[in-house]
Amino acid sequence: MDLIFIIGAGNTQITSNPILNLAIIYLPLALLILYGQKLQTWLITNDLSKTVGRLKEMNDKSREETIAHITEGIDNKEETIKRLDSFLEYFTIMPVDLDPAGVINKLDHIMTSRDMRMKSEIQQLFPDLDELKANSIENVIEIATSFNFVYKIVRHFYLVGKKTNNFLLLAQLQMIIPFLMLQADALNKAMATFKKNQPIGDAIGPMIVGKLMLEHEKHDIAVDTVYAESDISGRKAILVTAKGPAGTVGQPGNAVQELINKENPSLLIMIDAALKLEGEKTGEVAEGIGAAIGGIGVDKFKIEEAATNNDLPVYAIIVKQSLVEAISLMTKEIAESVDTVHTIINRIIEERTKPNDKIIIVGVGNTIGVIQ
Amino acid sequence: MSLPIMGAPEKKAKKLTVYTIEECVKCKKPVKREFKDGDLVHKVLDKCKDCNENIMISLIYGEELKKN
Repeated sequence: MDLIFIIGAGNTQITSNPILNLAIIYLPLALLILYGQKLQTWLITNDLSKTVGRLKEMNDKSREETIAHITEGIDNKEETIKRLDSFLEYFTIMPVDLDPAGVINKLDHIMTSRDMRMKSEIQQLFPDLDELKANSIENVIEIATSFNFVYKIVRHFYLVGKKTNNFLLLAQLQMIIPFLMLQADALNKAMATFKKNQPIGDAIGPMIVGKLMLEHEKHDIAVDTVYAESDISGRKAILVTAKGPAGTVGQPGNAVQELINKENPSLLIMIDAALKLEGEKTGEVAEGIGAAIGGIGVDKFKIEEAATNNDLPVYAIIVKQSLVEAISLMTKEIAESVDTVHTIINRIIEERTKPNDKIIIVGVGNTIGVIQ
Repeated sequence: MSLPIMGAPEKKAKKLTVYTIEECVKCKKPVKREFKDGDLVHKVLDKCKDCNENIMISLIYGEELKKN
């Protein structure tokens, strides 16, 4: 049979046989109209099944690595593994926000109770461990729990979409899965870093302030949070950060609130790691206004409230990085921003305050691998 | 046949080598070496041979190995 292809001539004939032309053009069209969505559903399901499988592999690996880390040198491994599996299923019920007044206090209470419970259970399970190792275990378990949660949520929507043959549900999952995979990848990399007590990208705030705190007496001010007093350009600088080298973010909200009320400072400077936008450079430093602190909002609320009540300007300095960089090993670009930030701190202090003023400088972030 | 996952993590992930930077607190002479277990940022290690001041770990970071 002769096929006659006429390209760009305005003729829609493919072959010389009109019936065959009809079949070639309209039959696939009709099939696609009738079964197109089913075909797409099949393609998406196929694609998602591979991703869910990959996530399962990553989740199993994270569990195995956690087991290896926490059972190192322990006799009763079976009991420990049993407890770990119960840790992985731990959940936190957020307070009701139908009446939002006072919800921050409730949230604070729930999160503090959760942290305390985790700490005490790890202490009960491993009574002979030093603080650094116990903290490392706590962090590794938290990472494994987050991983387990991501995997279970993805699996849930995949199975529901497949069971109900719901194209829209599967398509939405396919759209969001790249971001979830990035998160899973970040958690995967974070595990190795936390096991070795190496600083992560988020530790840049405590590292910058920790350097200023060296050789000054440190005082406890809140759970896992310390402060020290120093002199910067003739001003009294009160330096606050989480207590390293264990992996903790401390309670900067409580610490800053107390110090603002006690010291009546004239400036608050906050240094934190911040998520960069695609295209921005890692380790880039930017200045701004406002409370530079992440998390669920409890610490931010406390700092903002104390600053507003005392008419205290809040300056923010951020070091940009991606989500993966923030929770995995600190990169050279991030680490080398320390001196740049110190220069900015000195400039802000000299431009915005007078000699003998009091300034609070807070290094926000996880202080893993960093001593003050 | 399956659709590619756009934006998924790169399969060829960058391999980072962990380095520790030691620095004398006075003469600021930096020494770069590979990370050892127990290294912590701001940990005091030894005395400087030149000025007898403390040598401290100033940075720990990951850097991609450059291909020669």
